[in-house]
Amino acid sequence: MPLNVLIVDDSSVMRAMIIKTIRMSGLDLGDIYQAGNGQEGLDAARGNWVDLVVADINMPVMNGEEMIDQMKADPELSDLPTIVISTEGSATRIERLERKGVKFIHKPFTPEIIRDSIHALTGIGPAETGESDDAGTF
Amino acid sequence: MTQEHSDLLREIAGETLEQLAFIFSYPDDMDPEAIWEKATIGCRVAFNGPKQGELLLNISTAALPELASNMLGLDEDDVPPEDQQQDALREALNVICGNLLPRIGGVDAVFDIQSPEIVAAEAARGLVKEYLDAPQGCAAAFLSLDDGECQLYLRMGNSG
Repeated sequence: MPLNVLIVDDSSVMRAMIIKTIRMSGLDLGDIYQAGNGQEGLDAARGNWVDLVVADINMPVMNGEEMIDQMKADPELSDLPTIVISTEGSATRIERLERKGVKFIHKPFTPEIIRDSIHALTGIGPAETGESDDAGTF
Repeated sequence: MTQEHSDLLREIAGETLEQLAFIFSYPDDMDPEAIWEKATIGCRVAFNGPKQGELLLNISTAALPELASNMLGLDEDDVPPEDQQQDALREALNVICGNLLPRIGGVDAVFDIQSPEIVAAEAARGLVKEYLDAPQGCAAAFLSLDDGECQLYLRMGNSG
């Protein structure tokens, strides 16, 4: 079943990089939604069928951690698999995020890390066709 | 600020440019003023936590199309629009800063990194003077790129 993904990052370039990387990972993708901050991300998650959220932390208006907290408090969104892709380097803050059930990926990242993280969170692996062994870091 | 900070800045900036945008850089003993002889743009990001400060990156504008194009995975002939080039620069500085701070403050330190801002050349040149004149001094790293040059300056002090 195709995976509908919501990308939340205030950088349009980073959103494009994440989308490209997910495509390279060989996953069967459905609709991709984009949001520029946590509030827009919440609105998009509530207004669309989303299977996976990929979010940054440092964003204007509402940061990623606040968005995740609001998702956890919303029965409709509380179980939504979430990956945080961030430059965050504090072990304290990363552990706090992981305790909330999210998977953390540090920037820069590789397609393999994205693919493996999605698989770990959703159980969904690469599609039969289109699997990529392409390496490289973003 | 120490030579160790400058070395760290050079190492992390070089690694980030390579991993994020496939841009290879080389340490450069350039005259710090030489970069201003060609079109240059600045980008700065402020941070606070156990230490507070600012990281400034000045880069030849000629290097921006490749930076953005490589980050976006575009073909060599595709030139991203200026707003995407600047967004790519902000994101590159964000990643450099995010990888630098744990190396300085330790992995348990919690830093808040603000949104990076683009700075026009004249203002960026003024910031360099300000950083260099700061009582605590600043760390600096100069890198040579295929399409220009890149300078980084780190100004930092204790919080409170």
